[in-house]
Amino acid sequence: MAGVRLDRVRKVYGAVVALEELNLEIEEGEFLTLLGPSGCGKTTTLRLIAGFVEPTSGTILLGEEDVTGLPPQHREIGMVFQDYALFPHLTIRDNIGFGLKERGAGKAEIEARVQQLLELVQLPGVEERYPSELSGGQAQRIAVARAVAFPPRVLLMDEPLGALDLKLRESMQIELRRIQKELKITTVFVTHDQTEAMNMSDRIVVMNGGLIEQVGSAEEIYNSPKSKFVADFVGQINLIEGDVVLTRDGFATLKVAQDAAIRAPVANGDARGTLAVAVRPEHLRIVDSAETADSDNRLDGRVVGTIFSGNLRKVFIDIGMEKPLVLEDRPQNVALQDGAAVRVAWSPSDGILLDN
Amino acid sequence: MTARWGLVLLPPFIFSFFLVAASQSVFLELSFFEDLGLGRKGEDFVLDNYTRFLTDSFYLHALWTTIKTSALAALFTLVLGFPVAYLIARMRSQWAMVLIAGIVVATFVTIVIKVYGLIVIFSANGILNRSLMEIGILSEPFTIFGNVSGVVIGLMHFTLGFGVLLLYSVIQTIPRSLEDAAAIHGANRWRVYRRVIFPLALPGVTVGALMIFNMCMGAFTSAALLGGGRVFTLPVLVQRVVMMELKFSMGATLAAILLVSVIAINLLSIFMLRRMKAAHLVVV
Repeated sequence: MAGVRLDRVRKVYGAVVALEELNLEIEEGEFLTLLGPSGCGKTTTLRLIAGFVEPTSGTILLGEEDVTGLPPQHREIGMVFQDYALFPHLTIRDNIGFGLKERGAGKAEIEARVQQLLELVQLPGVEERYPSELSGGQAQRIAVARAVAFPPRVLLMDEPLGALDLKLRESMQIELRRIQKELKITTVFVTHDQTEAMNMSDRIVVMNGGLIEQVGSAEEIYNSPKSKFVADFVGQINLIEGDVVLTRDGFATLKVAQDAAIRAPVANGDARGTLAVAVRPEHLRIVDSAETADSDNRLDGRVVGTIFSGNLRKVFIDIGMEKPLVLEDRPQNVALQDGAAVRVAWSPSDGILLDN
Repeated sequence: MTARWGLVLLPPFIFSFFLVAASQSVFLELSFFEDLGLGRKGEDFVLDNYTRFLTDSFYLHALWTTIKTSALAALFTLVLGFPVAYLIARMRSQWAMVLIAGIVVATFVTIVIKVYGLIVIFSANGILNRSLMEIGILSEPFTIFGNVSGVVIGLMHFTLGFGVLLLYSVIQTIPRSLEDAAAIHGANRWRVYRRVIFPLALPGVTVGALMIFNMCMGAFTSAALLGGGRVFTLPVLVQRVVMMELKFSMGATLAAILLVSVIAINLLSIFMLRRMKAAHLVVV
């Protein structure tokens, strides 16, 4: 087992830059997720670590060893693929034992390891079967067993849960994390699903257009996004644009639509020009003018739609911006009618000031 | 993955059956009557023609030549076609489609034109022999006219395009991620082929090989043109016996034997594949 370091790694396909000068350090035993939309470079990064593609420039280190240019079979990496990529012509035993056999392990050794891994993934007794005889969730577990059979220095997972239905996906998230912790294995996980990323990871790397937007824990990424992209990609968020008219006591005052003034905390002392205030739907409230504290931000609008989703009710409110505000209301509150005039309020400290 | 082997092998079987049998069913009956020459036949139902075939080394040799050239052409087609098909199937660019289109076009150019092209290239003072002799690799011109290598090359000229297209479609069904999975878990390039690509391609390759073999067994033009009256395969012989010697019954017998050989070889292959499948040596 080892950590991974990507040092100024760049990957260009013809005229297309897939990855732009990436610097990233993954600690030993860490569960790190690369999160982003398709085409953001997350899969390219994973394939670079695997050795399926070589970087145009830069170096890749596993532990202390520079593995740039080393073919995949010599990197001692395990990988779980999006479609599982189990060998259809081999039994589960031979699938799990594939890497061990390639590295010269004996029959008895392979058998013992196969049994041990089937215990670990909680599927004892399937070793004689073929992949086509397994369910999606079972195939997933076997793919994990195969990937960790020859203890790899790093485990890579490329959207491994994408093909599973929601319930199974959630239980597999917990299952994968348990296995990862049990083996204390350095893991790089790729997904475009932000919930999955937050549920599983020690740290999340949010990528966009071949660049890292932000690296941090789930809490940091969700509560303190550093860019509009991260704010918007991770969870739902309202972005309200405005011009800064005043900065005082760590708060900036912006002039937004409706000529309203709203305040948001300034992270590093200074804010000027046109910025965006980001505020999560769960921080917005619908209020009577009477019960609003003086310091609260307030915007007037009109309800344009509601969605009931069980544990909450989403209310869409037009305040004269391009996109309506999204507000999360308690489901037991009476549903607002479309067209109803409402006042939305939130505490200034819940806003996040972002470059436009 | 439980498709039955019989079903997979049915199309080539039906293909060869109709190709050889249906069009010559009249001849089949003819083969059991004595050949009196000039297209005339005897009254009685006899096996004379078959006896003559089995006792005449000329005819037996022709059968052997047919099977040998067809098997060699099928084998070399697969050996040469597989890397080409693999390369095209794994290409990421649009060149793959251009190459496939090129192969399709080349495949449908009539064999007569292609074979004459071959003859021009390989002729004693053609460009190939002249340049090879000039740089001193050959002292005598290498000819493909009137010998078995020529017939095999001619057959391949006809089957290689089909072979590449067939193998291309087989290889395309093997997900690339399986190769990645094998490589990342320790297999080098050769082991990836050995443990993943070959076993998964085998059923398709076998069907392809049978199709190509069957095509060759019935091929007349390249064998006739390149054999140059010196190499006799059964189709060439049938034409000669029927059209030139006017021995209809004997020609019918040759056709019947060709048909039976093709069916027997196909059935044997199906049987062997069944055995391999039962032993889990191949997967369907």
